[in-house]
Amino acid sequence: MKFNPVIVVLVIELFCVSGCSDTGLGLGGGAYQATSIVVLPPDLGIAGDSNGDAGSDVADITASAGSGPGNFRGRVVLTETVPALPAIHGKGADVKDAEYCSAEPLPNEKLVVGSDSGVANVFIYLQKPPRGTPKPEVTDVPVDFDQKNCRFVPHCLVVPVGQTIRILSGDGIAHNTHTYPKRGAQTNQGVTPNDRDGVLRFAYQRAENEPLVVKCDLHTWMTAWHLPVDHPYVALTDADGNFEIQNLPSGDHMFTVWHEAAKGKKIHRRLKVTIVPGETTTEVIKYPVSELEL
Amino acid sequence: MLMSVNKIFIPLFSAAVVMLVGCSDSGNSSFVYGPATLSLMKEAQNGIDELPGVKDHLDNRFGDPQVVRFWSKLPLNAGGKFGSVAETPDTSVVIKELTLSFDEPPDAFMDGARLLQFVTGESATSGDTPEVVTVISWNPDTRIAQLQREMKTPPAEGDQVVLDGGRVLKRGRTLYQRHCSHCHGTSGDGAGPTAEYLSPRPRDYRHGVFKFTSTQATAKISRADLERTLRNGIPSTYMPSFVPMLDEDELDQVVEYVRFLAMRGEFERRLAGELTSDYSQDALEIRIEGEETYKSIVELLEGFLGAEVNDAIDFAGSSVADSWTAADEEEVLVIPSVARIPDSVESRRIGRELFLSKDIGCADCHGIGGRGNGPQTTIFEKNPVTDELYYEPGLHDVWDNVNQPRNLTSGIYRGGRRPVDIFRRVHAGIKGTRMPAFKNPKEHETIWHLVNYVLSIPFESEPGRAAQSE
Repeated sequence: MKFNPVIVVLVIELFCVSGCSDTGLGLGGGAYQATSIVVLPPDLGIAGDSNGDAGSDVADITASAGSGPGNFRGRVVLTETVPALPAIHGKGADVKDAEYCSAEPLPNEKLVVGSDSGVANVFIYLQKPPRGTPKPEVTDVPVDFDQKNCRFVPHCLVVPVGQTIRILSGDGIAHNTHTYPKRGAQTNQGVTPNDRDGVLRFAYQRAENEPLVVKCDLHTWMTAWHLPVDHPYVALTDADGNFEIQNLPSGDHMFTVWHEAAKGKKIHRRLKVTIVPGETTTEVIKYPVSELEL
Repeated sequence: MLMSVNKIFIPLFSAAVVMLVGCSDSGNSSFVYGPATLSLMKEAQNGIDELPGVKDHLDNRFGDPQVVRFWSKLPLNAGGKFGSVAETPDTSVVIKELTLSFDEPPDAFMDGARLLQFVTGESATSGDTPEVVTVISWNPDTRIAQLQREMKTPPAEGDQVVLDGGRVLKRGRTLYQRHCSHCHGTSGDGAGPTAEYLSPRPRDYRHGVFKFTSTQATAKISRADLERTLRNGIPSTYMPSFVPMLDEDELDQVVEYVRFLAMRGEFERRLAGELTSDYSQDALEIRIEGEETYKSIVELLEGFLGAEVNDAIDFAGSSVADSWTAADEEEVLVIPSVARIPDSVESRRIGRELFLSKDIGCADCHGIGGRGNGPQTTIFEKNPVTDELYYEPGLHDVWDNVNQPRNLTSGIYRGGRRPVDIFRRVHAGIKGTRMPAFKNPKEHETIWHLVNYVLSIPFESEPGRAAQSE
């Protein structure tokens, strides 16, 4: 007895096809597939290191406690002079809610340059504080976040986690404060016109790795940046680009230098700074004009 | 002759092989990875040598649709009876019985359950998967369970066990795959096979954000809200009602599995988000343009994956667990502090004035007549996070879909048509969209006036005009 191989293969294929047709039942995949469940403990072991210490490049505050803290002071300066950014719109411009929004010219705060090319609104902070770092102080006095002539005041804000922020408005129109944190939950809150008591209050629950944007959806040009922190080693440059961080544990630290107009938003991802006990380390941080993304 | 047979035989044979391969794979499905993970450097996604990457950490905690993993840190009513080994058994003999203590002891028939899984201890961790044994009898008085076979790895006192663990999730998964996955996708990514033909698109759960809730502006959706959505469907969308097709238990099972998928997606976004600013493909490009080398960046990443990742996992897991736990607590419910202001022409008049006023700005988006065509609906928007212009004009939501304001003349309310539903939309906003919260606690009366006006809009003689007095 001899089988024609072609016919044998055809029979196999027909069999396969009939077998396959059944799989259509599981539309979307696997509705009829047996499932099994594995229950895992809450504190699931993590492969590799478990104490989170190794590989960290930050100083240990307890190890250096005997040698005392130092300060870090400096300026952020542009390497060349650049013309000031033109206003987003001028006084009396025909914009939405012009009565308030163009009562004054609206400055473009993406790049604010002070005397001697110092850059304002640069955030300088430790990405991760040394172990044992005290939490920054949270006060009963709320921090104010205001809106005036369709502009957020302040434009940049460093705020400890848990610190109450009052949302104020000096405009006789509706605004909304819409935050976009990466780690915490969004806030999208309508603001009552001319609210000088700050009925609306909120606090960030999580520290962020970088400043988060705050927008008003009704006036889309309105932009502010907030950095919620869980340690005190942070500074924001003043109008002339000056900053100072006091009482840093001595040793080597890696600072992030963040500005909204920089490429990738970071002038330095990891700026190494050595702190000597009882002394002030000073540094002029150069902000190359080629790094600007306006 | 031989040649000609081969000419036919070889292609046919290959086809048969292809078909067999095709068949063997059928029915299995997998969870996909989200854009946050896929935007990372390959080494961050997949790990470096022995060090696990983001994908491994995710899979270790959530499994795949065939073997679902329930990470009990998460607030899921996954089902099963939890307990522990009450006495370390004598290891000099074969272990075929164990003394167990349960939080809620099962009856003599084990409540019909049989499978005992070890959650902690050697029996749970020594193999590739935790040891599972079948219990053939259980004495509630002596607390001794007879096992069908001997234990492979001896357990010790205090080891956590679970009887019939995860049965709710297991049934939820089967129901979800049958009824939900064709739109919402196996992973809950809102991208099932039918999704691209639907407008609005099915919800992508992975942000952990759901639009229509009874909870405060910053809170997650509650179980009761998800169940209400399953019961009522969402009017004017493709989301149907699943009652009476699903019974009460089945509704709970689906709700739990949807929460599981949402938590999986959110954990993934949060964990990957911890690496984005330093180890995304975009960051890599910018860093190499600067003073860093590829090798030095990988070395830093290796340091991160070896140590700091533990903090990142802890943060991602805790924040997901905490926020989803809070969503079912009573104090996050939006409850009006004053009873509804009775509907009257005067109340509607006040409501309309507020609707049109610059104080609240409803008309900016919903339009003067409430048709959902206010001036904000035609703007070219920038994505607030990436600062890039959206391709289409109009208001966008967190899922990057154009999400235009409701046309209030239609009388169709997606989040429910009870007055309290509208109250909650105004008070807490619509999550994930540009509709903000108006939760000024002093103004609950104001919100009721708005509710009365909004509910009257479909009945105006001419849309956009207040009703004429007779």
